[in-house]
Amino acid sequence: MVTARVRDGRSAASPLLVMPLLTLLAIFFLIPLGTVVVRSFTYPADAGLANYVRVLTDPVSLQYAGNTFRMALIVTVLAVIIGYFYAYAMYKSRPGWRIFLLFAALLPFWTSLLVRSFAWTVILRDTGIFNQLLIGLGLIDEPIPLLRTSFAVTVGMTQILLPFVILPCWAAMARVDAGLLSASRSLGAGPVATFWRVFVPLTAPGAAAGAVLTFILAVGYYITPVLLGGPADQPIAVLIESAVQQRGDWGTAGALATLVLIAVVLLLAAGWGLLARAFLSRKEA
Amino acid sequence: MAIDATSVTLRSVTKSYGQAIAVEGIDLTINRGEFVSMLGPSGSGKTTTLKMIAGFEAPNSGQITFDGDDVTNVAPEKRNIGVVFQNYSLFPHLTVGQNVAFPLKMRKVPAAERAKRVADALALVELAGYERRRPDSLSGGQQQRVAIARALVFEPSLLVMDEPLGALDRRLREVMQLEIKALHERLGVTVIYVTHDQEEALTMSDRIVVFSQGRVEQVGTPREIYDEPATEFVADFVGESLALTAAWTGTDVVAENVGGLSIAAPDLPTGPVRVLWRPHAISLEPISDAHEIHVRARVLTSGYAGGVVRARIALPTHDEGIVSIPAVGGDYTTGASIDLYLRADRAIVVPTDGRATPSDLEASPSDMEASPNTLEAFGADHG
Repeated sequence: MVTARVRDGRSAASPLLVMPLLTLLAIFFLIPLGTVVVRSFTYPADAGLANYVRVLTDPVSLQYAGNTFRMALIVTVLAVIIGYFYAYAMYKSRPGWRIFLLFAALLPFWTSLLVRSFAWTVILRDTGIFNQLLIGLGLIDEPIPLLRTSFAVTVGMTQILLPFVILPCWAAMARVDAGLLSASRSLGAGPVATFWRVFVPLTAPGAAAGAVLTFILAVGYYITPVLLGGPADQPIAVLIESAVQQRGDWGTAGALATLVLIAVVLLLAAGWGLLARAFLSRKEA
Repeated sequence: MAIDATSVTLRSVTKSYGQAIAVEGIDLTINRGEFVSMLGPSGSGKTTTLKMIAGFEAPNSGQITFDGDDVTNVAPEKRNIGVVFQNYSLFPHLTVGQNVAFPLKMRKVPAAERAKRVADALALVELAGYERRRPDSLSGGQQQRVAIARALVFEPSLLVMDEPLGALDRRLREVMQLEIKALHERLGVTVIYVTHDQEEALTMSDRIVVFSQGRVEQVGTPREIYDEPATEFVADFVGESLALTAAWTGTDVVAENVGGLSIAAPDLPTGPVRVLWRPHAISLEPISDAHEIHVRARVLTSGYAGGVVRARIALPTHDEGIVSIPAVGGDYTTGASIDLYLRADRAIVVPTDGRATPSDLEASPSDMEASPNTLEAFGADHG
């Protein structure tokens, strides 16, 4: 799909070159991750599968897991749709505008997650800009409660995660050979058919990469849903946090974390499978 | 395939990008079923002209018609033109069969008929059975054949090719040239073929349009372009030649240190001219029954080029040129003299245009057979 240029000359040296990074990953990622998994079976010492059984039969943790994955899915879908068309707007813009749009997309990246989440509370609270504007316009009399709702979490997380979709989409679009679009037009496809039948399939890998990134990040989101969401929007990260911070229960926290990891991997595998089937083995013409 | 070929007319078509004028005042008529090459160096406006004919660009002024219908502002998908691009432009996300079926799908051809026509089109370019292959698993020549099949499968009335063989190696290019020519003869479709390769244009075309600096320099059959170039540019760009700087006085063509050339009076206003000879009009020895102009050239540098010695020579007129001399005649080292006999009846006289020579742009080696009495030459204009 995407043409990858392999530079043969470099392949021989590359395993050595990534060694420092691999070492770093092992020390700061794989070992802690392994510890978490091990503790889910050994805390308390005779736990075995007990932590898993308890977590999987506990309606609270199941509900929180549901919150997490539902929200991650909604946010991913929204972010991919908005981010793809944002990147498309960049693609279609003149260079000056393009840089402005890229800058606008990246600007929030350079502020901390906490600040961005708080910014949304300022916008969405009862006395916030949004409600003030609607009241000022005479559209509503009483402020609409927006904060501490699923709506607020969705809006906040989608906005915060958008750059993770925009960047890979834009990268894929920038690589599209304009000649293919001309070819499509010359073969009888109008601008709309060219977009859906040529441009979208060519850039879909970028969107898929963005979707994967967004989904993984969204599942692990903590600050934003806690700040913007109501009781029904609390993510599984909250349960893990309280298990560790309030009860020192590393076993439960480890089991929850491991289950989330497994679920993410399975969902991603299923997602890739669907994508691969959609784009690689289409019905013969 | 039943192709209903179209004629194409351009009337004072002009296109500029900001301050830069890409083509200016192009007038051109291409007849139904004709194979016309647009030849010129890069930046000469040939590709811009092709893009306007295909509908990828709109002219700033002027008119383009197909069979008399104005298509100047018609979208490319509504022009029914097959376009073949230099880099093939096959859709990498589709198989060969899906690529070729694409224009039929866009025209809502039913699936059963589609499959049959795809198979026919692939058979036409000798790729029968390649439907399920991916474009990137094919060689460059095969990919270009798929592109041609895709451009022909919907029976367009015009086939436009933008340097379609530019990315192929020389041997394959020559094979494909003949294949494309054969397809044209079989299908009768009007072909507009853009190239910067003068040999390709000479081999394939019914007529050649020579472009230079956004204008049409000359339109003619390959023979006319080669034997009767209208301008110094065309003479230099198409084919090889040896050129002398001279002056047309109204009664005689006179060259410095050579004197009156006693050649047929050119139909030109008096003034500086260039007199050119094609390789077949230059000999190393006099031929008794022909009137010839004798010039003695001095070798500046030379090198063996396989069967021939390629020498840069200085002419008495202070012109320089490059000739290929059969290697059997001597080694022609620096400082050696060569006697050249230029046939008066084959002299080509063109007005001096004072422009940079295109020979630097187009230095394709010649494979012409060299007989002992014939020189291959192409002008290096330092006059």
